[in-house]
Amino acid sequence: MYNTELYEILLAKKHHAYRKPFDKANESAFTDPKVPAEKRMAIRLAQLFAQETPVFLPGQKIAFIRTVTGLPGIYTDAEWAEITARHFIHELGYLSNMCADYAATISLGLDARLEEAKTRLEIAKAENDAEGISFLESAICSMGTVLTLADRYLAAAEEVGLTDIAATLRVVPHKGATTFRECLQFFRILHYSLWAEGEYHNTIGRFDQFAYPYLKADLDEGRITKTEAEELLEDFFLSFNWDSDQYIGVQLGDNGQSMMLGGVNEDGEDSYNLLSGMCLQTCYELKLIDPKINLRVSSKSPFNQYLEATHLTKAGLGFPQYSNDDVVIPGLMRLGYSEKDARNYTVAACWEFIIPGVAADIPNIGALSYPKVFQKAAYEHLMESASFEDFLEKLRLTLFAETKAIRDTVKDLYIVPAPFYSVLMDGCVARARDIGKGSRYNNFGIHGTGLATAADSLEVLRRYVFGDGSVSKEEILDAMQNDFAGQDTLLHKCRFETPKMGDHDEHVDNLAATLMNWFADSLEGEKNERGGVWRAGTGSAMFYLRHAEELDASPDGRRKGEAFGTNYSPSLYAKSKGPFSVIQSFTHGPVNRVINGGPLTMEFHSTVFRTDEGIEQVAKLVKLFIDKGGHQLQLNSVNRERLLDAQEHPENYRNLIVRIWGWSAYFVELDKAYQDHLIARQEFEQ
Amino acid sequence: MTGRVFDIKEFGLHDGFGLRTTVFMKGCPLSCAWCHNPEGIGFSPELFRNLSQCRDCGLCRIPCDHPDCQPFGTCLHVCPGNFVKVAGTDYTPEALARKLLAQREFLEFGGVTFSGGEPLMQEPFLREVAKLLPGISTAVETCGYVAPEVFQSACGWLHDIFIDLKLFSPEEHLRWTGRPNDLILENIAWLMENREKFTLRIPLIPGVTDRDENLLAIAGFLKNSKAKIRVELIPYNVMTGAKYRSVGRAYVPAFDEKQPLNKNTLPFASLGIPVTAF
Repeated sequence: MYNTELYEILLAKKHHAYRKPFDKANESAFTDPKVPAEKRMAIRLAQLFAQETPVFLPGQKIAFIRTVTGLPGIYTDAEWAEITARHFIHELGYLSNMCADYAATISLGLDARLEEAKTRLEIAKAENDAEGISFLESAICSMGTVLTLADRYLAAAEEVGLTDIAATLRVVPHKGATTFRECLQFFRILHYSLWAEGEYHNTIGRFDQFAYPYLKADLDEGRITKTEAEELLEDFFLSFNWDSDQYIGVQLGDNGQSMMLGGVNEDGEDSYNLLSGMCLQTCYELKLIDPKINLRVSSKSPFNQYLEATHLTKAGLGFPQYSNDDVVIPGLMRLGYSEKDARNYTVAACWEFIIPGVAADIPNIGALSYPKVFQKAAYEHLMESASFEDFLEKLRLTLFAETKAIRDTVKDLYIVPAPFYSVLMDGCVARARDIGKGSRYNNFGIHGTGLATAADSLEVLRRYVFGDGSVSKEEILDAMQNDFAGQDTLLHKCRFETPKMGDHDEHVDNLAATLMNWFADSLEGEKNERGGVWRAGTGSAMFYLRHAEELDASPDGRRKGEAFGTNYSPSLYAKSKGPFSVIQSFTHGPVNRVINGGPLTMEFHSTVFRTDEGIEQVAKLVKLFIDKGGHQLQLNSVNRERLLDAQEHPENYRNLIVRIWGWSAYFVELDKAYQDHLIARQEFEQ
Repeated sequence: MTGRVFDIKEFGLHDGFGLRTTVFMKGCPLSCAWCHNPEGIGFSPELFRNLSQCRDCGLCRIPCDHPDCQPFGTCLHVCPGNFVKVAGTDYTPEALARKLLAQREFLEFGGVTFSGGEPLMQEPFLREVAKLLPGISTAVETCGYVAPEVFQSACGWLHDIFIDLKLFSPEEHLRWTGRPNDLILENIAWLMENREKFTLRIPLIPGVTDRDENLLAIAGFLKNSKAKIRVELIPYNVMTGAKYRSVGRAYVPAFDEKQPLNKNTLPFASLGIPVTAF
């Protein structure tokens, strides 16, 4: 680490001392219902930035921290109630979960973008395009607001003699960046401004791709050493953490600052570069949860990339999350994305695959609960089903009806205008339209939760109810409705003695594949109200808890109230045979058809990563997952806090592997005294 | 023909190179004071109860009529947490091979390791299994207390050998493991003469095997090997007693578990024998 003082300031939150609340004295200027929403967004941003105080922290190289906290809404309660009554509102209503095309503006400079917008405004005026005029005026105002704050930062830097920062700010954001440092500073200003405008889950995108040319030029010209570049990168990574406690999310840390590294370029060639590796290393050094590191790999990726990435997994952050170009790119093309755009994919806040700059997709607009579909089908049709195939057909129809119901909820979508964000999206200025109105791609994604729970439940029906007859329809329905009360041996049989998804059992894995195919089938050919398609996914977000809460017990032995596995993972209590079987089960189904995103999650104890051999073996495992056609993978090295939690809630940590010299073990199976010991030992190791 | 297995673990990290599955064979001729797999010592299937999590609900004590539960007087099919299991499952060579071949795409980047217990007690069975695993590398972790003809037969089909030598003194060996070490030394001598390479592991037990005297004697024994030997000093781990209560036994070692270990690699390094202390 290069600047420990700065790091300590961040950890101790000393920079919070500069904060003050938003002064609402002139709030009426942006809450006036007579003023169009986009203008109100521009006014609010102008007021916010006018209240900002330029602050430079000791040794800080990448400037801009937020000193004004809280962002009052632009709508009155009555107004918002009226809007929500007439429209479908996605989450909070503000634009979220997209990836801007930072690269274009970083290269051109805001002055040029401003000219472009002004020129376009003349055309809009000539055409009497009222909507276009209002949008462009708001965008122009917001660009001016950003430039004004940058100028104030420049003046402040000059005043206190911070010559490096001043020199950088004399170029960016007015002009295009010419150096790595200018690129980083420019990005920071843009990203900072998106948060300030009020958008959330503001992702970072393929940083190593758009920033590398600046770094390379600096290195080639001898303007910078690699060490200096690392120092800048560290400062840049810290910048994602200064204000993140103020960012909106489901919980703290859920702020969507996802960074994508590696992957193929426009021409399909592997483009992992020096900067990609530097980002992995910087993340390892800092051990901060932002930015959230993703890595694109494919069967052609050299093993070294997996080794560098596994080294980062060791840090216990759950980074990087892997995605597989071999699966994701063709999957996206199948949904209608062009090859060039598909090759440029990144991830949204969590794992949904999106395209920077050109997609106004909402990849988390709804969520299908497979177990809910199963329960409905079972309660309505199990008794009358003469065969397993009969029941499956009923289940299929129930699933189709359920995804139709989800689709039908999305009518008259309203998104709060985002004039500055729009400047950073391809073609919005040229079209004179806000990004909230759509873009090249306007697809909606639906998560799929509890797949393993549903597949495992189907297997119980196939194997016992319609198979050997050892369990009757009445018994299983009674178990579902009464939470297996008084059915201890049936519970044991269903929960522990029946193969699960994750055991590499062909029957269960085929049932899961069938469910995935039906989910995809049910959306195929359907268009959303914006002309986009519907994308089926494997993610769960927080729905693995919410969806589970609303259900009775399920035939797989899940008791009422027990959660599903997260995302695309085995059930919590399915104590799988090991990582090989899990990978085999979770690469079996048609993941390329449910490509909205959502990873398989696997946990390893940090001791697994203790030796170089351990790291190499994990890296090999990841490579095999990718080579076998897995789409997305998250690996966790589990730390002490999690072990303590595992002791409290062993049911959530069934597959937690701990390594003890002569043997590997499941943590929850150890005697408590030894669990305690392992926890204590962990402390020494960290 | 069947073989008796007490566990199969995917992704073994310490049982050889690459991605491996380790098969733990039941039954061992030794009974080392520091054994960390107590359920692997006896050959008969035995009850294994996870007492750290058992809430003593009593369901397993209610008499049942499942045939497989009768020998144990405990119901195996009712525990709400699945904490009651039997260590010891019989497989035909075909059945075990089928299980392993299902993971072929992983094992091709590593292999299968037979551990235990003492796997070579069931050598004819393992040989049959190995025949059914063409193209998959096999390794064994053995205590070496095996009849020389059986041992040499195993070396004919195994790719990698990990053999333990705990104590060089026959008397000490008898005292701490319940058996003399004559067969073990004979088998190691044979390896040194006939094998290209093998790994020799010494578990470092505080005050017992980690004494300089023992390490020097072992190093001297290995001195003139024709085979390439890699020595691994495996430190004693205080997790060792973890599973004893689960098989209804107490762990009361006659040595001081907390005594600092003597991880002395010098006796080997000074003779040019590659050595790693973990």
